[in-house]
Amino acid sequence: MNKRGDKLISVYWFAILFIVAGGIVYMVSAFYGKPYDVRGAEADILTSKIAKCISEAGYLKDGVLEEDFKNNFIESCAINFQAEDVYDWRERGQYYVEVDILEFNTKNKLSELSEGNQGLKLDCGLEGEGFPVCVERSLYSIDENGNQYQINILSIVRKTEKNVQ
Amino acid sequence: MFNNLFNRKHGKTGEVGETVTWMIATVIIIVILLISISATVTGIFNFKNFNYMKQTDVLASKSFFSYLLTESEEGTSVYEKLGSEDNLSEFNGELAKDIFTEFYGKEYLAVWIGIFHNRIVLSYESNEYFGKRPSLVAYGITEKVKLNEDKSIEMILKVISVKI
Repeated sequence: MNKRGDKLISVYWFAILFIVAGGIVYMVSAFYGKPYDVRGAEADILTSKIAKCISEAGYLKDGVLEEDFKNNFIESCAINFQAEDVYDWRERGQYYVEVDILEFNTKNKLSELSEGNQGLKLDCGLEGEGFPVCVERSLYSIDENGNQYQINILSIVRKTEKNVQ
Repeated sequence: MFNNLFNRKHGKTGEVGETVTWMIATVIIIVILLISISATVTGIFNFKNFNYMKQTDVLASKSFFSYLLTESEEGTSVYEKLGSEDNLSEFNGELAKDIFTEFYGKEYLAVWIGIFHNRIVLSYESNEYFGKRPSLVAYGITEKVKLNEDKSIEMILKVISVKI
């Protein structure tokens, strides 16, 4: 009678052991199977880089409002939009940047420039993990003549496949 | 005979008690396991979203330096004015509010610009534009510029867990 009871307890213990072990394996795979989403940080770094390129030592950089800067924005700010060659990323473009320079008091737009995949902008504001991450921030700057500016920078990073699953 | 009957009776009670203990233990194990699994799967402990604690803010710092360089209609900069005045004046205060509260007010738990007296320990001047200095700035971005020997101007952006 006792031996049968012991056997029953052993089977029960093994069953519990397998259930707990299976649960732990499932949890670990569920947790580590998901990638880290670093797109927010990437968009923030992109925004900071653009801000450094446009405003220096408290003043708007010379030539920022000129056509030449607009046309060579990527080169002037040393920005690289090249993404890894996976999931058609290079063909579809994974970044978009838009810079609006406004007169601070009147909010009149003085200059606007954009680079990258413009289609990404349509997904901004939509809720859900499958959409690109959009970071929109502003900074204040002046020029040597005392003119005041508001600079709005919109940075968008897609790269959904590697950051969200 | 009586002893045998007594022992058997007590043994059965023991068996029933033990079975109940095992059943409860099993239920507890299963419940804990299910809670852990559902928490992992639903992402309650959302460690995968890379929310980092900001320690600097390039845009706010640049705005702060531009703000200090801004000149009033008389031709004196905010920096010079603050150096000679006791606290934020109408021009300095309104401009600071227009820039920092509007641009960064939603991102941070609190935004404060004000005067810090260098010679008196922990002496911050409250002002009518930003009120009292936030008390707990353990996780805050600060930028301080010395105005003269006695005082500095300080910008504090109290950080919430920054979700981008």
